[in-house]
Amino acid sequence: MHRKVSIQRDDFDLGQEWADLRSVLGGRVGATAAFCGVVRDQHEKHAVSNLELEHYPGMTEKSIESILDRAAERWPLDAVVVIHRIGQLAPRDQIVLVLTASSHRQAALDACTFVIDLLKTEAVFWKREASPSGARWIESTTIDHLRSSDWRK
Amino acid sequence: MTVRVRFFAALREQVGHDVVEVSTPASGDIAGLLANIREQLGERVVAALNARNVRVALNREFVGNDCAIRDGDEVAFMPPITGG
Repeated sequence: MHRKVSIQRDDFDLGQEWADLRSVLGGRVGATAAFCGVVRDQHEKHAVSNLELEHYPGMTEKSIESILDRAAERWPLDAVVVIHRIGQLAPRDQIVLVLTASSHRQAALDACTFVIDLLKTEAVFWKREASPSGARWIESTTIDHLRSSDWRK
Repeated sequence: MTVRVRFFAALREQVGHDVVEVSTPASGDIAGLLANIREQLGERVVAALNARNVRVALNREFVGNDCAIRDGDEVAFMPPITGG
C-alpha cells in the first residue's frame, strides 16, 4: 500500500496531491476519496481569529501511522495520504487532507471517514484558538469521541 | 539518573517550562518521577500533571504511571489531544 504522512507548516495543493496519488496507483484502483478540513471563522458561537497547532515531533507521526495501520487492516486499500498542518492558521485555511484509494468506492469512502474520525481523537496535536475575547486550548468534542468509538464496534 | 521531561500545550503554560531535566533514583517508574518533579518544581506542578485527563508518554508511546523508566528516557505529560 502506498502511504504518505506529512506534518507541515506549508499549505498543500489538493490538485497536486491528487495527481501525485494517481501517478502511483495501479490500474485496478477504481475509487479515490478525499476529505479536506478547513479552519472555521467561528467555534461554539465564538468568533475565531486564528488557530495555532502544536505537535510532538516523532510521536505525532507515530499516532497517525497507527491509525493508518488499522485502516489498512480493515479495508483493502491501495493508498492513503494524510497531510496535517501545524503552526499559525487563519479562517478558511486548509488544515488537514486525507486521501484514500481502493478497488471499490465503499472501501475508499469508509476508510477516509475512519481516518479523519480517528485523527480527531488519537492524533497527537493541540489546537489553540484565538478570538477577540482571548485564547483557549480546545479539545475534541463528545461527538468526536462517539464517532471514534463507533468504529470499535 | 536523569530523565528529560516535556510538557505540551496548556500544561506547558501551567508548568512554565517546555522541557526540564529531572534527577530520579536509578530504579523507578513514572509515579516515582512525579515525586522527584514535586521536589524540583513544587506541588502546584504535580497537581496539574495528576489531573485526570493528562496522559503520559514514555519515549513517544502512551504508558501508565507504573511504567519503569531508565536513564536518558524522555517522559511527556500531555493534556487532551485533538487533530483533524
